[in-house]
Amino acid sequence: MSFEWKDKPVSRWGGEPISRRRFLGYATIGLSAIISGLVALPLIGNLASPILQKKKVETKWVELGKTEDFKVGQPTMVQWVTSRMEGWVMETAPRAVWVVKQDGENFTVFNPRCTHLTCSYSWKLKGEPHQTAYGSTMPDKGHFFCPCHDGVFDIDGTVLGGPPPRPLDTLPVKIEGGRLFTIYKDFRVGIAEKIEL
Amino acid sequence: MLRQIYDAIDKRLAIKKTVSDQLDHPVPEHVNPLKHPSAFVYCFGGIAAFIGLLLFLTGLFLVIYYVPSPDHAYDSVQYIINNVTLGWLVRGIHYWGASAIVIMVVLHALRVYFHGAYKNPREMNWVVGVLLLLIVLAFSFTGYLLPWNQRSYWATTVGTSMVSLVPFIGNHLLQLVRGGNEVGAVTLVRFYAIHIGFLPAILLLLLGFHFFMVRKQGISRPL
Repeated sequence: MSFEWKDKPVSRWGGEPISRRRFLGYATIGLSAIISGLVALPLIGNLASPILQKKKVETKWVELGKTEDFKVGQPTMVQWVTSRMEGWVMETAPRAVWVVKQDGENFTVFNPRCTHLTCSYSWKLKGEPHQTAYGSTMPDKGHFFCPCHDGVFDIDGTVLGGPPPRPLDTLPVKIEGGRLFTIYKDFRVGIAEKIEL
Repeated sequence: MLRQIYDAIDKRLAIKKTVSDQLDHPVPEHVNPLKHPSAFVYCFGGIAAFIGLLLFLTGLFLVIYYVPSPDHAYDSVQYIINNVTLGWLVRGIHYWGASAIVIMVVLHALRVYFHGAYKNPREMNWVVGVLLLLIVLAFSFTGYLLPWNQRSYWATTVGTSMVSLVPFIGNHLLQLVRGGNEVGAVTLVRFYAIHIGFLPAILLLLLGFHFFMVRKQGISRPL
C-alpha cells in the first residue's frame, strides 16, 4: 500500500491543492517535531552543561621555595597538592612546575606539560642515556625530554626536536622576601599559539 | 543524492511501506474522541507509554551525573538540580513523571477492567499488563531510594522491612533485598542497578508484547 490521496482537495493554498489528509499529515509531523524539540532542549542542555559552566581560574600565588635553593643550569621540579571543586566533589589535584634559575635574580617557571599532547616531560643531563620513542638523536647538551613522541626542548623552553608546536609554556613569576612564587595555569596544546585553558 | 541514498535503503528495507502501513492502520470509530468525547479513556495507555518514554530519556541523562554511592548520591543530585544546565528540569520531569505514570497506568487498568476488555481473546494481554503495573511499581520503589535523603532512606527501611515478615525465609529475603542487615551502600547500588538496568530490560520486553498484542487483536469495544 502506498500513499494515495483518496479524498478530494478541500482548500487551495497559494494555488496548490491540499487534501485534508495531507494537511493532517503535515500537522502531525510538525507537532511531533515541536514536542521532540521541547523534550530534546533540556536533555541537550544537561549533556552540554560542562561547556556552559563558568571557567574556574586559579589566581593564587604559590610559593615554590627560597631563591637561593635553586641552582643555575639545573632545572628543578617543584610539586605540591592543591584542592579544587570538581562537580560536587572537593578533589585534591597534584600540581608540578619546572623551575629554571637563569642567574641569581631571574627565574623561568614552566608548566609541566609538553605542548604537543600534555605528556609529562623531564630534564635530562648532557649525555644521560635514556629511552626514546622513535630512537631520535638527542642534542649534545642538557635538555627537557618528553618520552611520548620524542619532544625535545632547550633549557629556555625552545623546541629542539620532535612534534611540539611551540616552546614550553612559561608561568608568571614573582620574588618576595627571597622566596619564589608562581600562579599555576594550563594551556591548550597541539597549536602554535599559547592560549590559556 | 539524498533521494538516491534513501531509495536504495528503502528498496531493501521497505521502510516507506512499513511506516505508511502503520499510519494507515484504521482505528475503530468508537475510540475516536472527536466523534465520541468519552473515548478519551482510550488514551490512558498511550499517555502512560509517552510518560514512560519521557522517563526513559530523562533517566538516561540523569545517569550522566548521578553516583550511586552514599558519599556522592545526595550531592550529585543537588549538583544536577543547582549546577547542571536545565538539570532541574530534567530531574523535575523524571520526578513528576514517576508519579504521573503510576496514576496513568492505574487509570488505564481501570478502563480495561470496566470495559471488560481483559476478556477472551485478550486475557494474555491483561496478564502482561498486570506484570507491567508491577514493573512500574518496582521502578517507583527502587527510584525512591536514589536521592539518598532522609525521606528515601526511611521509606526504603520501612518498605524493605515488610519482606522480613514472610514466614520462615523472611530474614534471608530481607538480607537479599538490602544486601545486608541495614539499608546502606550495598542497598543503594543494587537498587540503582535494578532501577536502570534490570527493570528497563524487562519493561521493554513486556511492553513489546503488550503493543504487539494490541495491534494483533485490535481495540475491544466496551461492554
